[in-house]
Amino acid sequence: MSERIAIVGVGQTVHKSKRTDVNTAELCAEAVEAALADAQLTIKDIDCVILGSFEPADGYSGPDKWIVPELGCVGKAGFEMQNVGTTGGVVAATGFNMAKAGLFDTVLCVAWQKMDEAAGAFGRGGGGANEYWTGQFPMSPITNFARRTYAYMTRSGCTEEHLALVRVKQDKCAQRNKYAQLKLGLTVEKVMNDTLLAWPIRRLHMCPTTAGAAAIIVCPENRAKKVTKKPVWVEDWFTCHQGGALTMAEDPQASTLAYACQTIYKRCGITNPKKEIQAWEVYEPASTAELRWMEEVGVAEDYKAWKLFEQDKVGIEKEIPFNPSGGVTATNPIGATPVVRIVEAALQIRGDAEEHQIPGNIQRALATAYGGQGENVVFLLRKSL
Amino acid sequence: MVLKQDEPKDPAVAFRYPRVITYKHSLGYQSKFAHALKMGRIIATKCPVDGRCTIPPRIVCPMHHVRQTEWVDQGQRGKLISAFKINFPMFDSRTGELKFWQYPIVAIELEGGARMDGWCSETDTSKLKEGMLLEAVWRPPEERQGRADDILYWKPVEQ
Amino acid sequence: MARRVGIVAVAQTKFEQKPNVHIGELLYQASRDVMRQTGLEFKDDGTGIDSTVASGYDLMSGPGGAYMFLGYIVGAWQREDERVIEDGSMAVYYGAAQILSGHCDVVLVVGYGKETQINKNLIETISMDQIYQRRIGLDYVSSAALQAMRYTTKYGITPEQLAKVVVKSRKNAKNNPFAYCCDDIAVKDVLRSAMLCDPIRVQEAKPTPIDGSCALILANEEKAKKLTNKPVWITGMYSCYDHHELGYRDLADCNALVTAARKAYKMAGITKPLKEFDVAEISEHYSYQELLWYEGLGFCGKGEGGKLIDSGKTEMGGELPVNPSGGVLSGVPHCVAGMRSVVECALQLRGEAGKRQVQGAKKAVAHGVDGPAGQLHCVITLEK
Repeated sequence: MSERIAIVGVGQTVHKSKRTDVNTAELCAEAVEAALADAQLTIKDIDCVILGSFEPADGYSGPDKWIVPELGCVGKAGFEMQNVGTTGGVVAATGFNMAKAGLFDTVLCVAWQKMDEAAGAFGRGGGGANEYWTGQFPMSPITNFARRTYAYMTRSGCTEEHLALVRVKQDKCAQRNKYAQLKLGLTVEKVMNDTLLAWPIRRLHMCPTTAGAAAIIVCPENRAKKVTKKPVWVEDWFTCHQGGALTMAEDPQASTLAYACQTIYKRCGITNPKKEIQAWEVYEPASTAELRWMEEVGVAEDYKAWKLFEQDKVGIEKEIPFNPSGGVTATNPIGATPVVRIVEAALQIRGDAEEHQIPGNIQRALATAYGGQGENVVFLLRKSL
Repeated sequence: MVLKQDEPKDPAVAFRYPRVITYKHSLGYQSKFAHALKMGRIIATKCPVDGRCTIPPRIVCPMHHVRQTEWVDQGQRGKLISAFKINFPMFDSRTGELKFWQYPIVAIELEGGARMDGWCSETDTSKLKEGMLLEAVWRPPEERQGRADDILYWKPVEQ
Repeated sequence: MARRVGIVAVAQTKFEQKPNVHIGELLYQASRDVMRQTGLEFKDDGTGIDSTVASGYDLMSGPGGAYMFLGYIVGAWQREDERVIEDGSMAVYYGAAQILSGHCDVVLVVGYGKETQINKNLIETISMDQIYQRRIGLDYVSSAALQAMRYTTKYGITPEQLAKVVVKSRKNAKNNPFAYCCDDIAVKDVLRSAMLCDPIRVQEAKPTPIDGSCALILANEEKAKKLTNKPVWITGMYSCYDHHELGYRDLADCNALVTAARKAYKMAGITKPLKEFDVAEISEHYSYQELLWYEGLGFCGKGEGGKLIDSGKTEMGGELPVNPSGGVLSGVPHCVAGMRSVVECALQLRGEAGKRQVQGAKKAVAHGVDGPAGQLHCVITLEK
């Protein structure tokens, strides 16, 4: 059918490091109820539910089976998706496909992560890699980003102080976001003197473990216009994985983000992303990656993004509003994070982001998901078509 | 990073559920690589289109999607690409215990062109410079199992 | 459906125990086979395969994001590559949705299962809800046994009728070069076999562990007609959830299947499934499931599954041959089963099913199931 589709409702839980007060299904239900309330719909209006979560981190296999009935979706269509770190992105992309295909009128996409239930879930190290080789090294996302950042610093000439500036900016944004988990009142000194995990990554640079969930409701055009006055149109998306093609040893800066963005820009006729996209919600497991990825999405020149921080040009009211929600460094429920990025991007377009709203007319917003060794899913949202 | 966890106190609020899942992974085409490690050699698959050698070995070249059947010996020495130390405990996959790792992890480009990870005997990372020549130091043959730590560590070659 | 999705190529590996083969080999074999048939490669300019959809459970392949190291084998290098954590039929469903949405034109769908490397029952237990059913130690076999007991008691299904399902499966499997368990087992042999989980006997449960993989290429109507002169069109598809807690539903019903079938048939314009379909491939992991799924798919009325198998209408040569390939009871791994049903139906409609061919088959229905006691069903209807 290839209809145009829009997000009509968004919801997320208030993210905390532990949610021992709820079980997993209740956590999802909180996000779903928030999204339904936002769209002023009930669960009866949903006809398809797509779910996803990074299962190994919570010790489940196929939890959709017992979560779907708890959400009130018995008798509805749907299934579960997963792809390690980009899980939430794939869940959203699936929801978009199901709505755009003309098969369903109201699709609910839910992603969640509990994280406080399974111990040592990443125990084999590597967090998703070749089952024989990479798992034998004590590697994890922390070491992956240590390598990535080290390579960036060597090529660009930036210092640890620039990395700290990025982290401080994230924290300032997070303090204005009522859903964010970490609001620490950071300064450059605090960041530079923090515990070193693997040089140059300090504990504050890495994302926390979070228990949280997020949900979005997607409808095709005709229905979207009836449900809400402020639909957020989904202009395009691209799932750009690399499926274990490169390890961190082979390419420490392996990333499909630049390629994915270029593909989307070409398809949508965007020639000047810095001007044509007004809000950016990029998934960065370590805040240090923001430097390189600002360049990959096209808002900064190659290996010069650190200068923008020196010149204080990045922030909610500044020239480049990158991660106004505080980003993944403030909140990271792994499976749900990409959907949180989409939720935040949608809120920016609608003008509903309250204290962390970027001023001005937000016509387009970019949201990304990151996983594995540099895989990405990129979404482009739009205010009016 | 593995964080401390509270043990559940009230089973009516939270309960423990320990489970051990055992996997019997078949190495398949990778067993050639593992056997070579046992014999003290490092081999890698080579792409017939651009000659790129990869470790871990891959059945298909991801970029050109052609079957990789040629194996190339990578030699015993390599150039250092990067090195980092881990300052927090991580699991040892041989014993399952959580421990602090004394030796830095290094990424090396081998003589044959493939890049791999390993440990390094030099614990002072400021002495590890990009481009340094490193040499593999192996476990005694009877202790090798075809695992990554059959190469005990890489040591800088005296110039 | 306004636009049509066509299956242009299908492939499967022989289903057997392959403990020394890496999963990557299985995936490579199946995906390369379909690519060779169509001459397609992975391209990013729209002239080749645009996207891959795979089906597989994470914990089944290995801990911690295990599929990630396999994606490159099926072309995930800088490309769309998504994974459905359900039975393979839902991967076909999603692949078709990607084409209907216009996002992709050609999709490679793969399913893989390597049961020899895991303890399947343990992982099935972990997929139960953690508070109630997991703590009892329920897995899919015991859930199926509960359902079998309820179903056979309520409608008076006899052990002989259940055994006939196994006999039919194994006999049909003899014509299928990819099947594992094929022989001339008799009803009395089935009834004499040891009790696995009352009332399911060892011979009535699907053989496990088995390894294997299968693949399909789906394309939009325009490209399908160019890629093959025998496209098989997907005319209807739907998946539906039921309650998870076994006590919330009458296990003798399969309401999720009834809904899924009804909606898929509506999309395809089918009103009398027994008459209109020429062949059916359904996923029967245990013998009683074939009879129960007959009812859900509308081949017969409620409680009449036993009568239907007695009538011989579902045998080869009958009005609607069910599982000419031997079905899941002949040995198909988890996650591949539903996709293989679609593959077999496509072979039937293309006239390439060899000795198991149903002559003149024009319309077929494929079915996949996942979850305890048939919680999640997916029905896909196909047409020549």
